[in-house]
Amino acid sequence: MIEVAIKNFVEFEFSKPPLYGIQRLRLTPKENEKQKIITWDIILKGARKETEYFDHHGNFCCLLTFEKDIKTISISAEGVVGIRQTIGVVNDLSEIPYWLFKRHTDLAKPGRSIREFCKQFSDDIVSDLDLVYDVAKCLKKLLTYSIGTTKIDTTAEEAFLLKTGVCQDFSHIFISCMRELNYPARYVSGYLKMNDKEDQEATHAWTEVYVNNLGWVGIDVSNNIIVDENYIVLATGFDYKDAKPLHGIQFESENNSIKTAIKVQQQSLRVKI
Amino acid sequence: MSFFDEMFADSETTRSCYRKYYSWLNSPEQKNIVKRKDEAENVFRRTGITFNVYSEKEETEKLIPFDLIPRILGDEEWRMIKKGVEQRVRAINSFLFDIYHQQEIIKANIIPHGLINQNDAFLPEMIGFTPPNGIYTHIAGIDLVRTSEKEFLVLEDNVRTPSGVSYMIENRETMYNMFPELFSKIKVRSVTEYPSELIKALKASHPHLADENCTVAVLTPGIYNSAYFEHSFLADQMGVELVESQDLQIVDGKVAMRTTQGYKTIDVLYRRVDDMFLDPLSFKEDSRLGVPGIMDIYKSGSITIANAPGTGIADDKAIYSFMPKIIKFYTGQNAILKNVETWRCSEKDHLQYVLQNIASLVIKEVHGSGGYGMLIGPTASKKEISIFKSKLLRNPSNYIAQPTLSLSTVPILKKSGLTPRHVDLRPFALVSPNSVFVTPGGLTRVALKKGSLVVNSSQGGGTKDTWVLEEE
Amino acid sequence: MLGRNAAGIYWMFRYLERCENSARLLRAGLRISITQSDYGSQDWDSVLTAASIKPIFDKNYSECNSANVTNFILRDKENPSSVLSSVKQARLNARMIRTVLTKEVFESVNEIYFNLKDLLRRPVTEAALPKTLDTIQRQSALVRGCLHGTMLRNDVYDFARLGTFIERGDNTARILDMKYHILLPAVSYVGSSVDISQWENILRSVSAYQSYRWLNENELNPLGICNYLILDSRLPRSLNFCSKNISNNLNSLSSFYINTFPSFEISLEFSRYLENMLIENVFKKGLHEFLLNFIAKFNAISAQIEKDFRFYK
Repeated sequence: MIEVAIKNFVEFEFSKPPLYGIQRLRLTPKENEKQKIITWDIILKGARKETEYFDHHGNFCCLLTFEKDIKTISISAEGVVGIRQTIGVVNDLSEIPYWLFKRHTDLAKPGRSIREFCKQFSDDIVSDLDLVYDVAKCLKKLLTYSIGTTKIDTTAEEAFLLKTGVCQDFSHIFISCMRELNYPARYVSGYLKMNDKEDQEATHAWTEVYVNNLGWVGIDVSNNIIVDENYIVLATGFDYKDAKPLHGIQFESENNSIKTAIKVQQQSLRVKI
Repeated sequence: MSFFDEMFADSETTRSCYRKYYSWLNSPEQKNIVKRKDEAENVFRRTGITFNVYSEKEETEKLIPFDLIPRILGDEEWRMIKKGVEQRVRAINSFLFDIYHQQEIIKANIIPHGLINQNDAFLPEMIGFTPPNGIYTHIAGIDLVRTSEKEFLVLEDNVRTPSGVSYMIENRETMYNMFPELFSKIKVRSVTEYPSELIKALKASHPHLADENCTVAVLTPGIYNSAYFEHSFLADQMGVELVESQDLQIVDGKVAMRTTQGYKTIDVLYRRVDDMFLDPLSFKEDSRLGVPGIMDIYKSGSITIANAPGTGIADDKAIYSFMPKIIKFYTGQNAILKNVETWRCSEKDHLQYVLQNIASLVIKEVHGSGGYGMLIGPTASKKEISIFKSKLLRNPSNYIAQPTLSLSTVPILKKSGLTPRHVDLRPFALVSPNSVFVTPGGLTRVALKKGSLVVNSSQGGGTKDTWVLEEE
Repeated sequence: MLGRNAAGIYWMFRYLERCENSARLLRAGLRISITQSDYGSQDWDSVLTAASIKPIFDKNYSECNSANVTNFILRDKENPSSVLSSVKQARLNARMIRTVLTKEVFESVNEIYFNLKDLLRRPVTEAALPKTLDTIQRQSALVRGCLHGTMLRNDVYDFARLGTFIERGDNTARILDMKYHILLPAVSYVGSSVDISQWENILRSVSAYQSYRWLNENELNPLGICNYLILDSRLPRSLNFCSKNISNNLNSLSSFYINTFPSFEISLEFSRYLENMLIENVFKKGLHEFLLNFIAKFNAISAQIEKDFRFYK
């Protein structure tokens, strides 16, 4: 098992503090057979925790509200997560039936071009797993990673037409294809540990596809397809909307800026005997 | 087509439950009763019992016409309705628990998962979560139509935020005021206890608090909502606050309302805001009618929301057609109140049948309400039918079809005298942890246009006071 | 009690008072215009100025005559303090806070709304005006009667009264200030019969002509009239009376909520100041300046009430 230390720091800054601000955090790694929390803390400045609970996907959520009349609010989610090496397949205990992951969602709804693209995969399937990888590889070839071409609410179809986007778009496109091909698929937000780079600007996103008799297979279309022990899951959802690490509303604030700083580093390697 | 009339068995005989009333009506003192119609209307106008009509420019408040002739049910027929409603409401709650947990009914191949999967009323947020005491529909309204002496059919279940109960009570108050002598002659079961039964049921839905410590509030979208009168009426009658989005926020892990002295926790929220507007963090992000974070508080177990979010999956028109099977599956019994035969246009052979028999059917949108967007085959023109056909073919799964029913009639009072009009009945049920309360009577809606089968107030329908006679 | 409901009842009674005041203002204006035919349009002008509605009037009408002003004050939708706009707002607030009103109060507001809407469906002719104004005043007296006769004497009642007195004090001050605007162009009138009849009309516009005569044996002079309208604590529309009642109601809220609110302290201080004021000093300071200061103070108290009782988020 490897231990990875993570620190996810988010700071809101307002020139005029909001009348009211509320945030739902999914900033606690989701525990499953592949990853376990060793320590984890959420430290708030200028905000208070209202409640915490597990949502329907099994994500640990924390609801917080901003303190009144405060211009700078910071959230730091930090701790150590133990990761087991696996072949990239996980199972978890969410009660959501698999077929519900075939339901199209607003952000990952296929349009004409995605449906057209999916047609090439409908014949002579070798195995489910092969098909999943085929689609992923094909998309990886087709899409170019590029920041600034898409927005936070760009849909799968819109991004697919542009043939570019960021990890969020790639995941939506892939989810949309998999559901079109009748596979349950879900969005994953989390961290990717990179050997050459501890400091990162944003959380990562990838996809999990449910394959019968196997489990949830992780696929990262924006990188090397295979999701290995370098990936740490924060939250899963039907699409970005219910897996996003931070989701909130501010009322009557002005000039808000959000700064994010993420650090992901390996601590030690423990070999289980 | 001949219709069952509830007052007259034939031109000579009055049905037994109407006998006393009819002889009163025919007494010399009531010769001028028709002149008292305005009196009732003035009462409604003065007390502000109005409803808002959408998409009208100037005058947005309207009165629902009230007819002075009561709709009367005998003790025996009522007992059957009551049993049927209770059974149905219990089955609906079991269904909701199951569909948001183990989904045995799908595993048993009784309901296809596609029906749930495609349905926006199904809220994944509710999966694996058990509302306090396992109650989903604290308040339910079941729409019934009568087709013969013995037969009441369920037309529709309303388990989201059923409305109309304020009219039921105000209709009775108006009758008490106008004809006090009638009620000493004829023993009619009271409906005015409804608000106290409602607050009892709501308070009982909080699992951790004793009654006196439990704060209940009614959440309304605001004064422009069509049912605003009812919201304020119920809050007033229960003696609880009527709150709007702007009054609420999350304080100390609870939903709280802003009072003159600071924030006060709400334990049970009777919300009259639709699921999609309830929490902008969970549903429609631009909703200004809900409370951001209320779902988080709900899932932490710190508030009861009545009715629970996601109940809409049970009163959907497509699910409706499975209701007899649902009742059988969860209660082991046959449905006491039968369904109206229903064709689901999503299924090929059903669609085929509907297209062939369109002129004799009523076709409704699966998610429609208020009598909008439907086709009544027998009264539709050829052109209307052909337009509707193409809509139907474009999206068959959006429609269901039912035979044109011969709804029973009850006379209304016109200048020319009594004249029959079609009616329906919406009894209201309240679900508590250990009991189901069905208010004796309910709301009778009446189509005021001759021959019309549409009773919705938004389509020119009126209401009548509904009497259930005391046991003789 | 919800903060929004406190705001609702406060504003409901402000609007009802405003509706009644608009009717009074129009009655006074009408009298000025028929008793002094020479300066008709100028006098209407001062009526509009006193009510702070002149800019909106000028935007919508080209001529300042009796028919236009009547229409504007009674029924113009563009005029936020017209009788019709005020009564509409009052009812809107009543619907919003129905759950804290007795059936009688709600129904009386509902009734005034429907009656006035009906009455003001078309422009009111000069001949029908007196009767129309009577109806407006009588209808609003009915609401007041229902309030006094049926509402519990608790916080709800206090907020209703606060709204009434804040609006009324503001209105009396503005009407007095109207005299300043009439006087301004022609100093030569001072002490003349025109001047006296203007003062008389001011008394009429706050329904104080009759009682002034009871108390002063028809001795109409500016000092006496100002003393009466500003400082006499027996007159229910005087500034002193309004101010005193505001601090009384805030005092009762303070004991109801077991808390001393800043709004109470401000209002108490101000009402003591008025209590000890002499009319000679008011004139020494300048009537206009005194009235402006009064209006500003009432605005400040109103803003503090909103804050103290959490009317808004």
